Amino acid sequence: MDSKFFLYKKKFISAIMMSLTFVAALVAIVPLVLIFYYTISKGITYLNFSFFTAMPKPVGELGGGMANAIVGTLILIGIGGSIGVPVGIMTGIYLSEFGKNKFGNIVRFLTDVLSGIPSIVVGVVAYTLVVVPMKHFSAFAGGIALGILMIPTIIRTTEEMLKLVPHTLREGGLALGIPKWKTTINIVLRTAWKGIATGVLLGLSRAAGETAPLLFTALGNRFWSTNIGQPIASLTVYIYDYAKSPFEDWNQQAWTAALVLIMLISILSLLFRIVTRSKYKMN
Amino acid sequence: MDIKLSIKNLDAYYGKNKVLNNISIDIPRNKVIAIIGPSGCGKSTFVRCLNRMHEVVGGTIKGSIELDGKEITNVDPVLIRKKMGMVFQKPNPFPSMSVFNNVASGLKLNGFGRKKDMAQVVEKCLKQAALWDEVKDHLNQGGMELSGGQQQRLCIARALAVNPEVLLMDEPASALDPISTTKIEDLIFDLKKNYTIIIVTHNMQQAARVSDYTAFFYVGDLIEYNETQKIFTIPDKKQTEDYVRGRFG
Amino acid sequence: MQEHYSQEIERLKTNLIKMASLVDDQAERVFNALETGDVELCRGVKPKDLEIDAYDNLITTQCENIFALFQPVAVDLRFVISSLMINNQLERCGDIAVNISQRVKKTSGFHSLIIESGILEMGQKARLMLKNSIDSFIQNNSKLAGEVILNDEEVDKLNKHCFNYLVFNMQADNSLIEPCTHLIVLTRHIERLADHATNIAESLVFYVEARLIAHQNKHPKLPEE
Repeated sequence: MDSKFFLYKKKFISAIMMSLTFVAALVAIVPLVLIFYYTISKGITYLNFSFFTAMPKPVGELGGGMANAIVGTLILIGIGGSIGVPVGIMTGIYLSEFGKNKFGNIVRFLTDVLSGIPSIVVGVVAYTLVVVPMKHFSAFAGGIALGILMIPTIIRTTEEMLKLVPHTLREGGLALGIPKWKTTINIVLRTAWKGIATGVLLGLSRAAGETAPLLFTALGNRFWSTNIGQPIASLTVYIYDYAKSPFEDWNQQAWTAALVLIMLISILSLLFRIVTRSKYKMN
Repeated sequence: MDIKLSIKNLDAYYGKNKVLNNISIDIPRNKVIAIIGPSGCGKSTFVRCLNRMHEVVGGTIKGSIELDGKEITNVDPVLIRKKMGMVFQKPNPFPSMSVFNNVASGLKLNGFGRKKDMAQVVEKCLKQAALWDEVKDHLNQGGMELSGGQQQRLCIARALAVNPEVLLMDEPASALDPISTTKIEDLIFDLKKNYTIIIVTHNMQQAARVSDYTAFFYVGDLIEYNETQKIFTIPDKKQTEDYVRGRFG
Repeated sequence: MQEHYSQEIERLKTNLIKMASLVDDQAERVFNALETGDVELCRGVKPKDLEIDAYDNLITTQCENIFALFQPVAVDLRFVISSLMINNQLERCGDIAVNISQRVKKTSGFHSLIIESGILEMGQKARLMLKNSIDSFIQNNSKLAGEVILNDEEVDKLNKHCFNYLVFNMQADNSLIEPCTHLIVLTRHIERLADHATNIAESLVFYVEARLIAHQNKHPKLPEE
């Protein structure tokens, strides 16, 4: 009699714990679901072709689009990526392949610190370093700020992905008489590149979603501009501006901008998935 | 006896830790030499000193290693490794490459050969490794899609492609099933016509089956080095006899 | 490790066959000499035996090497074990052939005695047994080996008959004591030859059928059996 009671008690407790974890998972996805729900339902009304091609209309006039902001976001990610991706990947390679020394440890420590710095602080620093000497706001400054933000993520992922490559592969390459640098690029990097690409995607996505640093660097621009020496519009800054404005029309457009931003990141993610799909099966 | 490799007074260190003591041994040409001994006796370290792979993990050596009479301890390791191929315990084909590219990798990444020549070399090496028939219609298959035994033969083909003179094998069959092991052993018996082969093995019976000469290492010392037939019938040292009888280690 | 091992086994078998045919030749010679009385045939038998002894050492070393280097099991193991046993028996047969040749030289003038006592018949039977036992292991023929084993009884019977005949003749005629004594020793050699042929056949059966048929039913069962 006693043992049966204990058995049921154990089963009961186990069931409660499992249910709790399930409930927690449900709770976790609620905000995500709400975000998608609101963004799609509120943003879809203004989502049309002209949103992507038309310029913003002055206050009071209905309609218009955010072509400049969309292009601006892309340009900013491009500049940031062209700084952040090479620096991040090559630092990651250094740390993984050559950095088992004091210098490497210092770099790792500083990377960890950098990844925790609030993006607004990075924006202010970029303002001081770039905007002030240039004497005006620019897409270039914005790109630098975003690049700095990308670097820690890309370094960490690159190093981790390279560490996952078994040491036996490096040995195999070296034993064939292939010099270390060639082994690193052609064998190690080629094996780890998908993981590294994921890290790059994470970095780019984070950069695409930043607002605060851009306020001090790229500022914003109501007109069409692709000049990187000049201020430039971006989706995130527009969402900030339009959402806090008193105009209903502009609020709506903010939702649509948010939807476009999410779509942009999703497309980026999808592209990466296609590019990194497996050519060979693993045994 | 025609000597291919002559090792004299070799000491090996990992940091301050001495792992090989005054090893002197002459490796004859086109023969199979087995290195046996209990775990930690330095047999893997010894073989890795020959193609300077010990340097990759921070090892240092003192002493002389001569290949065909020429000292190699002060030569660029990359050059040495082209003359001494290595096959590892766990098969390590490059996962990002096809079967064909795996075999050709040593050549391609060293800048040799045109595409036409490459195909010939790949076929020749896969035949030498007794793998050609099994993969000839699947050369573009991923290197990792083969079975364990096939992967190891692929690694052997890859090592042969750079045309080494010596083949170093660090327990090549220990991760494989018995049938694959037999295939590898038959392969070694064939390959010795053209290559000098040094094989590290913890399996004494394998050493007995496969090799012409056997060296018995114990805690960093070379205890005995003789014809395999002698080592397994009337060894000189009692320690050797105890080891091959399975009395310790 | 198939090819290397197969080569070694082939070499072993070849050497055994070479040794066996040497022994067979020796037997052929001495039994012809017994039959015809031609002592010239016995010349050269003793030096030839040295070659047989050399094969004995060679084959023993080969078997030792195969055990040490290849650790054979199952049928391969039985092959090497039976090769060692057959090698041993063949060497002894070689020695016996030398012994027989010496007795033949000493009794060449007593041909009628040799025939009437049945020694010739016994010798021919033993000669055939040896030939058949060697053939049985060359052909891996356990049926033939079985026949050889059965023939041993006949040779033993003939041996008793010869002994009685020769003793009777010695008692009847004193001058025949010396030749008859030689002939008794000769019958002993022939009987031993038949025994060794039987042993060879038994070794072959052990190899092919994995059965130990020697000494069956003749000894009490030991505790471990």
